[in-house]
Amino acid sequence: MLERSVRLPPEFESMNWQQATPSSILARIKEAGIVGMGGAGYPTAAKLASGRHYGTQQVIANGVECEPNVNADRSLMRHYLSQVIEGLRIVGRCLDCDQLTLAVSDRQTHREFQSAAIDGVTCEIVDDDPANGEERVLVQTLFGKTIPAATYPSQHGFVVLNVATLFAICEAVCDGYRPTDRVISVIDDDRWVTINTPIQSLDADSSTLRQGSVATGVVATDDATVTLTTNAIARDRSQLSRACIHCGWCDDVCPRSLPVESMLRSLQSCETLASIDAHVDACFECGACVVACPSQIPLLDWIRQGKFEANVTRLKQRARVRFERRNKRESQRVSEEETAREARIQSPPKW
Amino acid sequence: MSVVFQEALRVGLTLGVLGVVFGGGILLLASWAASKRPVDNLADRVNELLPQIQCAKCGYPGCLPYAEAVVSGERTDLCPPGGRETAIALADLLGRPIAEPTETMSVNTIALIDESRCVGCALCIDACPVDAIVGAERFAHTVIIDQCTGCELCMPVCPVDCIDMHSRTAYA
Repeated sequence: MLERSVRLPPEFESMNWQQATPSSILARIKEAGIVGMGGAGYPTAAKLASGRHYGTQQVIANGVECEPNVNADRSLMRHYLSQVIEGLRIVGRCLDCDQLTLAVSDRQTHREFQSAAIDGVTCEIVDDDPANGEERVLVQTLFGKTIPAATYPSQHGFVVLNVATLFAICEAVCDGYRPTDRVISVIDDDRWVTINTPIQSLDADSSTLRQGSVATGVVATDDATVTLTTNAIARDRSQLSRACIHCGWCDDVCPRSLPVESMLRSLQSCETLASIDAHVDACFECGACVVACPSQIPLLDWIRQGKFEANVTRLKQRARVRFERRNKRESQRVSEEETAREARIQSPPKW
Repeated sequence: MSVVFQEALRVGLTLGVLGVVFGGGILLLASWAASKRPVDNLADRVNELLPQIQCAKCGYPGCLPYAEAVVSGERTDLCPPGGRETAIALADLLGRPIAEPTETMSVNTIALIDESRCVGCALCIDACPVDAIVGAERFAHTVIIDQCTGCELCMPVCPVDCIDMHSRTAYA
């Protein structure tokens, strides 16, 4: 068992969810302030409400974890599988849905699940590909259903929840705890960390840390703290990066088929417009390119910077166009008034 | 004689038609390329460097007028939202000595109207340089946050003080 830090006493009464109504379960999840702990931080109550509104055929526990040195979800499943499954059942009850699936990416968890013989839940194993952890890609991989862009899977009958979120749901509903800590992969061991722990205090070594995995994490500032969506703390390795050798591996692994290499070149030479043309915004930051890069280039840092610059450029362009249109409209109005006045002067009213 | 003449006419006509088609195509391409890259004169290049907040804090009624003034000799350090970087970029582009701006302002803000206090006077709609406020007289107005540049021009005209500046990152 992982050693758990001291927690506050339970804040709510424990609930017998088998007898509870779906709306009271939903109210509890909302009250406990549970958010998606896979990384996006989407409010779980909102997702479940959307699932109830559109009708749900499948609830999927997302235990797919394919980033380097991130094992938080795996450890959680290894030590607390029964609670995760309980959380999945609670969500199934809340959404009136009995199709429950646990998706994992490593064989050991899959085997352990099979030997535990849990009925009512199927366990699917997916490829060890960083993109598979993304909920739309996961639904596509498991059920062959494409979720259109700009819509959520919950609008199409699929509710995908991270296993840590399900664990938090189980604790909130069954025991009445608010989520105040979570399992995090710190460098190379997994442990329970209380939320709001300063990140710099987790590593005795004073090297630069990343909040998140070495691939998708962002460089932690001095005052950065662990949040509910932090799944790993890694040592930054961007100091080790070398020049791009144009091998094209990043292009090959990108699940969105983006021209990562040429994008990097245009970003490094500050050509924001070129990176917008290359659809830098379509990147969903899975980190596959960073893992594949033999020169250890922090590609995702560049791409995030590029996305920011693209946004600023777009805002600027839009403001300029709107300003010019408004000026044109105003000057047209002024000149029309002027012509009308001239016309009135030419033909004064006859008394 | 007539056969040769006809042949020559046909060849001439064909070549002429081809010439018109391809020449027209090249002209079209050239005009398309010109429309793709509108940055050709110095004022446009200066305007490109300005942050397009349209706040008029430089004393000119917007970024383009200021860009035109800078080209004809105005100081390069008058843009508060652009800050140090813009002042340096302008000085570099025009080959003038670098002057640092005395006041700066955050570019990452948006205006929000507290609809419960708005009386629907429509004064802010006229003040907004980018048409980012919608509403009609005697009805509450609201800000389209995607279009708002955070220029603060709507704040002084509001008679009931119902417009506040907020961080863009909290809403976008």
